[in-house]
Amino acid sequence: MSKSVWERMMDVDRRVIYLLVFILIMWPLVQPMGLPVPIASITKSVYDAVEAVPDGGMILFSADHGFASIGENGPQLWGFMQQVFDLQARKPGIRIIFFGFWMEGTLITDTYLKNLGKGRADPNYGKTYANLGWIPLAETGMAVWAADIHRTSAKDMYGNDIGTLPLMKDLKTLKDIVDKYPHVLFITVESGTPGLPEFLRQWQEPYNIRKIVVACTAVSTPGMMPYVGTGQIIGVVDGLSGAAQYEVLIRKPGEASAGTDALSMTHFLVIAFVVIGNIGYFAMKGRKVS
Amino acid sequence: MPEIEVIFASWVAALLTLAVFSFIYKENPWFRFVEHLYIGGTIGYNMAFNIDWLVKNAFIPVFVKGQYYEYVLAFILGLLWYCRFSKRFFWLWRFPLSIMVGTGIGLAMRTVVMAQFIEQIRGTMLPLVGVPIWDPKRVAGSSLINNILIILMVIGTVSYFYFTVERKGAFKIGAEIGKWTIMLGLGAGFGNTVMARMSLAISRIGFLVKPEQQIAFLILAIVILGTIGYTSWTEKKKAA
Repeated sequence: MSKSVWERMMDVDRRVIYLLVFILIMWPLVQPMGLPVPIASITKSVYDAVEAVPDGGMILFSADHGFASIGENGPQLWGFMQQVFDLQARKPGIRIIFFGFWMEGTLITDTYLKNLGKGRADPNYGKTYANLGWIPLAETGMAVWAADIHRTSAKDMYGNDIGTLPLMKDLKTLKDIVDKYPHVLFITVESGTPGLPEFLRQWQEPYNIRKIVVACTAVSTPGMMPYVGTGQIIGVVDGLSGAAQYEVLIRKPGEASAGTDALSMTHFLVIAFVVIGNIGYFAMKGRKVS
Repeated sequence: MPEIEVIFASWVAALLTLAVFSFIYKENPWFRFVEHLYIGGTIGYNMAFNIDWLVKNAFIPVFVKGQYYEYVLAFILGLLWYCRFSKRFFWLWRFPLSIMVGTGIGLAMRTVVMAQFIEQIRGTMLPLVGVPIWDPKRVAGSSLINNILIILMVIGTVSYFYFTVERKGAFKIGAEIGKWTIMLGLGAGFGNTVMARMSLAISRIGFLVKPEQQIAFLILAIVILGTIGYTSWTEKKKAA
């Protein structure tokens, strides 16, 4: 027995949906439409918090994500890295320490550092910024790192003894960082556990680090919002759309800005299929009742 | 002119991306190959990273700097993990496990009450006077409408999960508000999940349609689709 129109509306072949998604993503990427990118207040708060780091401030920068989420976290990380180095060029007293509690995140950080002409070969490496690489053991690792940086990260990303880096020489604990630098901003680009809740438990409460900004995958954003409400974090860069907003704010359009048209188109498609499915459902329900 | 390694790497990346996407049509050997490659690559990469960290942070202090005593306990506990593979010494595996679990819980518990309980309760104690009715510049910020919504929705959600009293009168209204709040939360979660998944697809499709990638994309797409189509056709023929 052939299906009625209403039944077909509720049972669209998934391959048709995927094909339409593929076309609707590809089309704006090849032919950009330039749809507007309104800036959310939670993204603007993050931008303002980074810009507000004064000369002589410290930025702790953690990349806590893997390759799987690079589509969202990659543009966020890239946006932040461009901004913090631009900021350091304007305020030379700012110091930056890169690290990560996800091993793949540290590799992505290192790749982006190379793209910015920074890293191992840069004469300023170790003086104005350092890349400590991966710190294992998730939440326990956070607690141990905070208590003894030189034992937990004995070597930096490039195999240097961190005691030989001028920036790290006197910074033995997280308390040393908080005591030495009057303004400490913590940036985390993350996609899961370990992530913000662990940082709040191991760093914010014991060491009173109040200036925290988060960039996360869109899936994680609803879980972050209660922390914005309580003031435990300043703001959130929400997925790819947040990254696009951030690119607008730092005036460096990139991968995320190019993807927002495609994102909007696919959302229209999802909404359309939700509506079609519901029409089919209620029509069928009405028929059964009658 | 890009280097030969770059061209080769981009063709491999395009092939792997398309092979993963081929699963959308149906299960096939291209996808299976990439799935295994991904798992193997990830495990190998993780192992190499861990070994590198161990060499830098444990082997060098012990074997080069001679700090034997500081690492004796860690070394013994580390070895005990391998008792997991012995029926006779299996019980010894519980020692490092207990220490790991105990340390983890202990570290989390010391601040969880403050960081995730008291702060969240404090976050719902919001002013209803002295705040603007609505702040269009900071829609997520403190305003009368937001504060009323947060207070009502938190109380409603908590009452929804209170099961020892029959849902009647005010309690029923509270639970109903809770139910709608949860549904709104799940709706926001679903919307964000869609956005996250689409973002990942956009990232890979964006890679495929880059001008320098388009030839690889077209040729490899034809190859993969052609082989999948051919195998499907032969399977159908055999079945017939």
